[in-house]
Amino acid sequence: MGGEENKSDSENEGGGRKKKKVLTTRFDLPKESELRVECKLNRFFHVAVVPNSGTCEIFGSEIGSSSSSALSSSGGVSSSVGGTNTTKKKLGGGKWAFFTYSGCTIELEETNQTNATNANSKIHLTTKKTSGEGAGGEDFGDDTGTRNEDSDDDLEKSGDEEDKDKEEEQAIEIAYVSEETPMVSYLNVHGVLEAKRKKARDCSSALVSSDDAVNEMEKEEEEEDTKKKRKRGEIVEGEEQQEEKENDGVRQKSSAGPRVLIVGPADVGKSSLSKILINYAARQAWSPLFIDLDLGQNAISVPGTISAAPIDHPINPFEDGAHVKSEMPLSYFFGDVTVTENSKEHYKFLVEKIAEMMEARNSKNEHARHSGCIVNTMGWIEGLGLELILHAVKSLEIDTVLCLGQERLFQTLSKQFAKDAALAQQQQQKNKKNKKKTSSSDDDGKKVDAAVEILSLKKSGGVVERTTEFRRKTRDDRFREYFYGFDFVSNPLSPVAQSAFFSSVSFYKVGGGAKAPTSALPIGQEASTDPMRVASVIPSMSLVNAIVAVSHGKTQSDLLTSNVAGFIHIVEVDMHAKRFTYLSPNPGQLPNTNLIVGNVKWFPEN
Amino acid sequence: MAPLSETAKNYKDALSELKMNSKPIITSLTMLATEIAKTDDDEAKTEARNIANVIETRVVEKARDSRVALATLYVLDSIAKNCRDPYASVFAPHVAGVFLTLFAQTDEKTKQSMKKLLGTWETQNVFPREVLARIQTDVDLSGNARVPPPPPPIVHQHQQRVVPPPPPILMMGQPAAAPLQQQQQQFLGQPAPLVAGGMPVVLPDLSGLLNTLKAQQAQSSMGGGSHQSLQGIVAAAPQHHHHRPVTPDFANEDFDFLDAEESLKKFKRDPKSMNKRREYLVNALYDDLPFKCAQTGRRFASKESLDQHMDWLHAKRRRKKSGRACRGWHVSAKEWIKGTIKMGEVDPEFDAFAAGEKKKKENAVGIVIDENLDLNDLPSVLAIESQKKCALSGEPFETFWNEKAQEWHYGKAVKLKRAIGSKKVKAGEIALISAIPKEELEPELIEAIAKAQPRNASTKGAVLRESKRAKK
Repeated sequence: MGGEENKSDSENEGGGRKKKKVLTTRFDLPKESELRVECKLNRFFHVAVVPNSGTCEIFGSEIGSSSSSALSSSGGVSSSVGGTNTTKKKLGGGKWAFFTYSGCTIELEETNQTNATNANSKIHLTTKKTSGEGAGGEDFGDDTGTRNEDSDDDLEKSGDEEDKDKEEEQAIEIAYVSEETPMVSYLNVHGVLEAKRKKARDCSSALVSSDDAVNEMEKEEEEEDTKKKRKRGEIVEGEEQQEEKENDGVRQKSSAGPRVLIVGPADVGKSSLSKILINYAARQAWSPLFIDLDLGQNAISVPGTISAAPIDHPINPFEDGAHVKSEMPLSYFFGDVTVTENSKEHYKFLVEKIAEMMEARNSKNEHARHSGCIVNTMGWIEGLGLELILHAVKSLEIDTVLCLGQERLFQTLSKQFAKDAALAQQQQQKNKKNKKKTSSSDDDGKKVDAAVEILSLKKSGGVVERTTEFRRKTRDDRFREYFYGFDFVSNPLSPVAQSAFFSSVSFYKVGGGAKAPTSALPIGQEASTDPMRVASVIPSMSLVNAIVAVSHGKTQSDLLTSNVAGFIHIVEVDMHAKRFTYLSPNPGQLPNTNLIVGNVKWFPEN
Repeated sequence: MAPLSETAKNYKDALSELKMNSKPIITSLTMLATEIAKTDDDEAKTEARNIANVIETRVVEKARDSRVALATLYVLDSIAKNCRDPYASVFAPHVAGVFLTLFAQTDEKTKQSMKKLLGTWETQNVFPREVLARIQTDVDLSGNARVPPPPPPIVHQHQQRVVPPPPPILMMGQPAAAPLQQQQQQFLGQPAPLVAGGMPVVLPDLSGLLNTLKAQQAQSSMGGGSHQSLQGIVAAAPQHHHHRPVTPDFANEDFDFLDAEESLKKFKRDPKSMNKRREYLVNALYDDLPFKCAQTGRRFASKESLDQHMDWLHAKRRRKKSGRACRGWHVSAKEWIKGTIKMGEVDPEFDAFAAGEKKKKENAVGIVIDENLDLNDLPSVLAIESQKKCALSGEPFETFWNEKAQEWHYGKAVKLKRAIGSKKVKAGEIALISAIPKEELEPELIEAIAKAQPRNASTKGAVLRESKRAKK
């Protein structure tokens, strides 16, 4: 489609010893089209926008088309292949979409090592011990996902040999231009959100300026008034307070930015959409809060957590990889990648905690309040999944729900919200009546919630269904990324292996113990284990390979409500010496000795 | 018909080239006509009349061929607007006849275009009022008779909303725009008719659009004013490469989203509205942010923000050079709420690393000594000229005036009593306490340091433990 490819092979003397084959492909993108690239995991390719050919963005973050070499020192390799002097920027494995509003020309470049011991894999084999040779060449389609997620280690290894051969060939599996994208509708949604943000800002600045002056005067008047009234016994205390509360509520609400929640089944591009909306907002100088409630593929932190991060500059995919690197993530460790009937209270609790933190931040930071938030959710939309979505909408006080890719979910939610709105209205009327009748109606000072607006959006044709296997691998990648960084070959982070005595730390688990379903118990008896109970864990060999959260909580009772400072990976447990070895993201001491154990494990491949 | 003059003949030939609505040809025909009537004498006036005659004849002749006729009418319009003297008065006597003849014979599409054209004549006072009134009456009559809906004004707005015409068209069909166009804007002024002719196709598509009412209000309340100013921008634009000047539908589109809730509902009802490209939204992300960072591709609204960004990049790069990076610990909930870390300030990743390095160093070798302690309370050694750096770590000593000894001393340092380590550091040399491996430290020394450490120091425990072990 309009994309013209001139493949040019050129031999490069890479590092003096090995011959590298550099393959450059050029694509001409028409207006409002996107180039979709699927790159093998753990492989890299470079991309450049030909200068003056137009603008281009990745998930809403613009790619510069400069010839400066600044970025090449950190992320990419600069080269001048194909006669253009552009800087190629480096991107890792995964699926990428380069979208252009204006039309542009893009060059992709992949380096294919012809030698079996290619430089890259050597580095991660020897020094990093996290080589992705296995993960590298796996075809997405080679596993139907029927296997149990955690038990397929050996099976996977048997496939390694073949994969190695494949890997030598091409990093880019497929690259094509598509002119059918829903980007314009996403941009329009952004336009609406933008209008809300501006309104919130104007609203609150107007309130601030007028309020102070008016309030002063009114207060004086009112005070006199009420004094008189009180004398006559006309006014009731409760009523007065209630009114004030409501006023406050309305004011807060009107100056609050949009709170958007994105729902949809798995593999419809939810996290891409949330990134696009976040980036667009950040490009216009807002700092929205990005909340990711997806346990399995959390874009902010490692799997098994839910997180929130204020984003004040667009996510730079060349430095941060496909994920959101935030300087200030707020993460809560759930300890598992799925929610069960048994643990749902814990999950809900953490969502409420995030809501609470968001309120706290908003009350301190006007700009943050006007910017609003974008919430990404799990791709689980039935049964308990739906329950969790509805719970999130309520607790985060979402005003706009964007439903991606499923009409049924859209209808279900629409009905639900309509029902809720009707109920709320009834409630409100009731309250009003009550207020008139009785003097003590202090039971409900809640804000008047406007109905949640829900909008159905098309998914991009570029999204591909991911197999369970692929998901598991990307999860592993997330752990590796946490410790080693996304560009672990040329620009790695340096975690440190340390060891400690069991006695120097305390391990805890939330909601541990036997998981007896209520149905298995005598009628009327509750399960004996509280899903929210924090219990200490006796160190054992089962800790090996566990991802353990370092809590900010100082005491055992704090643990449930505290966010985490980070994660360590337990490498070795020596029961005899009562010591364990762990990988810490940095050389410092652990910021806290309270560690939370979950069911999340990471088996680094080596 | 009187025999044509040479000039008029030539002009007629040129005019016959015009087979359709084409801006360049109309422009050149306008310039030609202007050229002919440039001089202010009778001859010029006669020529002008001749040319007017040629044009009028052509419109009537080609009335059945609506494309040519309309294009020719646009030539008439363009000339009359851009070169009023003498043309406006020359055309005036016949324009009503010509217009109505064509109007009576032509198709619906062309009629719409002509109505628009008439609108611009009215607002710009191109022709005398009586003439326009006459045309208007007849148009209304015929319009009501044969062409029932849609009411022209709404149609007009729709067109504006839905199809963002390319920039030069801006002035077209925009009633208020005209007075501004004078000689130097001639170029821009001419295309006026183009739009009307070129775009009427969009109509059906528009009628479905919602919010007509509001749109009308918006239009009327904003009046021509905003467009007029827009026009100014556009007029200036070609000189600087403003590749995407503000689009004419800006005002209306902006209005689009004023009520966010309403627009979401609108999206639901009308997918077209949701999938319509709104140029101003694209511009808000690109061209409206003129300060671009060459390295990251980020754009900013102001120079200050760009500078800030550059500083941040610079600091980041310097840090990268200075050592390996690693991930820091996440902030606590309290700090997170404060959320004051902005780009350009601290990068926790690096700071955590620096702090970590420091701690690591301390852990690896000696014991930790609180930075805030008075050097007088700690072991120290007489400063000597021959050794200025620690024998073990190579760090320079901190020299201070020891009150007790009334001498210059090196702080936090001791004279080694025996040789240490593989570096073959001899006894008698001076070393920093922090550089001495723990196992080499003498118990008394540790005791002394422990005493000096404040009770609440976090490192106290470690020091005490060390001293206990040493005692055993």
